[in-house]
Amino acid sequence: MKKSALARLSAFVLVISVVLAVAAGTAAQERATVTVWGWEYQKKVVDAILPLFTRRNPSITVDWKIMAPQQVRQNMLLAFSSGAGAPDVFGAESAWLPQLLAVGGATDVTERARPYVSKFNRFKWQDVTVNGRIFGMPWDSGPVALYYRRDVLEKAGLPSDPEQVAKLFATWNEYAQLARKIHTATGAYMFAHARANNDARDFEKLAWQRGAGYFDEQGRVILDTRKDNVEVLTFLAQFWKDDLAQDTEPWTPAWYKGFTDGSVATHFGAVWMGGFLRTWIAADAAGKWGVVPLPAWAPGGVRTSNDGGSNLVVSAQSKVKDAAWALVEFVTANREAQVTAWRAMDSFPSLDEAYSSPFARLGDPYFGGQAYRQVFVDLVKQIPAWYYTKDYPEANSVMAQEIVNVALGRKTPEQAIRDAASEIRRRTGRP
Amino acid sequence: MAYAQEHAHSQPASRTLVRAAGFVRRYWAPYLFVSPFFLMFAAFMLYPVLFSLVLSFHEWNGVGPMVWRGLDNYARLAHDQAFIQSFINSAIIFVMYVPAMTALALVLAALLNSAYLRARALWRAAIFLPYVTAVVAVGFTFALLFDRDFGLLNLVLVAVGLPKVDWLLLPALARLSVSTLVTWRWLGYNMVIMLGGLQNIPGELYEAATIDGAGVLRSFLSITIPLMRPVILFAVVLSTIGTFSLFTEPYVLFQGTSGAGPARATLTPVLHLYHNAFGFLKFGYASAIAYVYFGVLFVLTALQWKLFGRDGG
Repeated sequence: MKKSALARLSAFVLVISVVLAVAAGTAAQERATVTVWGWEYQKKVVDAILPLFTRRNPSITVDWKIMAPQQVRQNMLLAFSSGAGAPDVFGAESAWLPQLLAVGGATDVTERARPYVSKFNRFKWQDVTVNGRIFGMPWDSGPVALYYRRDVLEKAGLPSDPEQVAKLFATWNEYAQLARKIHTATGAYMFAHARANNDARDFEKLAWQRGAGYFDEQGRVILDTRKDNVEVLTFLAQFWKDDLAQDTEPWTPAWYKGFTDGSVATHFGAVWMGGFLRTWIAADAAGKWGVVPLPAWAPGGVRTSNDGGSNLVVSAQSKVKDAAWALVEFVTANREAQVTAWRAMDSFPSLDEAYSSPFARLGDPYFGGQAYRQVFVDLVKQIPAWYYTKDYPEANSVMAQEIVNVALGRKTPEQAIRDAASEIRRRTGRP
Repeated sequence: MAYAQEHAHSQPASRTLVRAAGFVRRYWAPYLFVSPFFLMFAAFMLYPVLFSLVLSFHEWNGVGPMVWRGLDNYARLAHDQAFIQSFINSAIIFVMYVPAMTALALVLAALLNSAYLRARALWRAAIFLPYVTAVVAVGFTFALLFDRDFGLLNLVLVAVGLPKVDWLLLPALARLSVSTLVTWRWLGYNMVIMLGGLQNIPGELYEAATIDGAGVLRSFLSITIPLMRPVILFAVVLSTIGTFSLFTEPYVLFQGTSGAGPARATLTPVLHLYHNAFGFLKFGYASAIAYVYFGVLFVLTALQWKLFGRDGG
């Protein structure tokens, strides 16, 4: 009796301890810290939706390390080449993500991302896809439209209401013709376009609008084989020749000043520029800016492009891939999260279903009461395909130098495009 | 005969071995104490130097497999316009600032070395201060000074009725801006080198010259400069190497182009190397740049030594 009681007791203790151990084990498994590398803006976006995420995933902690975009890229490369030290999740600009993917820095999430493929902007998947496999989630998009100064157009005797301005600038041809008139009447330049410190971004925006650019889907160089590129550069060069473009370097005080004082009449920029103008570049110019679709290259043509935009990626070295994916999935693919981030930080969703939010239709006093976000929502589906490839950083730097040669009158646009194309082929070994 | 030969051969060999063993037994402690330096040197200097030599014959993206390319990287350098441009830029920048900065450093050092100067330490510290100031902060400050529309420099020009100047937008002026920043930053460093040299010149020489009736200028030209020649040469050689490896100064002034500046006017060989390695992930090509760059600088330094060194004069 005594013996069996003891046996029963010990069995009971054993069962209890096993149950406890199992419970502790699962709890330990679920409790995970996800480390994230990204820039300050991205952290603010995630911070805005973190309460929502934590409510659903109370056992996942998010640990941030803030660094500039280029630092993320640089440090990720170091981590991959040394085989350790990468975070679980990182934010990546579309412009350099393919380069990181080419060195195997990301976890293949094809199966997990598949249900979402039809729910995001089509063009965004290109930036996270290698050989048909998906390595990240689109986060925000950068549809491009034409920002214009209402006061400058009025001073030139032109309409300033978005609906009329959209018709006024229906094509780039009409845009160019009005540039002279606006300059004569107001002294304002049509747009800012740096000569000697050109970064090729304006060229790329307009080439992207035409579905042209550096590379095609197979990775071949199309810079010189697609006539669109020469036409874009010729178009841009004309403004330098006629002294209708303001020579200021992007992201410098002089460039900001042009947005504030009305010395530039328009800017073809991405949706995020709206938030930038309102909050820091030209906070004093409230009520003076409006937004219309980009002029088309031919009547009825595409009236938008893309500039910038980022993605969220699970790194190849992550040891808590489930938790990391849970964060990535929630931040990028959850409608509530995307709308919250849009409202809080003006992070423009790549997730289509977020666009139905009433926030898109909200008039913004900075833009004279215009619901400017809706302009971008209406445009985002038109964005043509663009193939960055891993060689984009090099192609961009070559092209920027050739654009400078055109700006300084050393080469014609045809020569510059031809030289850039052969230089890119020589350097990258692409056909 | 065979035995004799073998014996004759092995005798000194074994003797050397014994001697070596004795040497190790006797001196192991001091070598152990200095070994950390050599180990660190081997790990962080020697190994990378040799590895990048191997790398320069390969194509490598930093992560994947290294692909043998033979002399391909070197052959491609010959057609690399940016690479050639980077040497031309450095040469132009060198002419723009090195002679002036070296002369200024010598004159300032001579003035600061004079016994009649009050608050000498203060002056020395003031001139040396730029060298120890955080260069990124300095870069931003200079970028603001040179700014076309808001820069202090153009404000002054406009105030005296002159037109604004595009300091950072025109290729030639961009180099001048970099030269100015470099001079500001490195003048104190060069002055300290000169000061060290000056303090090795015996005072009696100046006394004797004064007794012979020589003025300050005369003794400067006839005593200071000739005796300072090795020191000046040393400073110029350092400045030469420094100019061709300029990185931070153009980088902080021209952030938009990662240091390349307008029309690549301030691209230096080291910036070009950096762009290729860390921008385009071409570590093999970047290593080839490093080795050619090393070769050019080695020849330049040897030439300077030959032409202006003690023997050459």
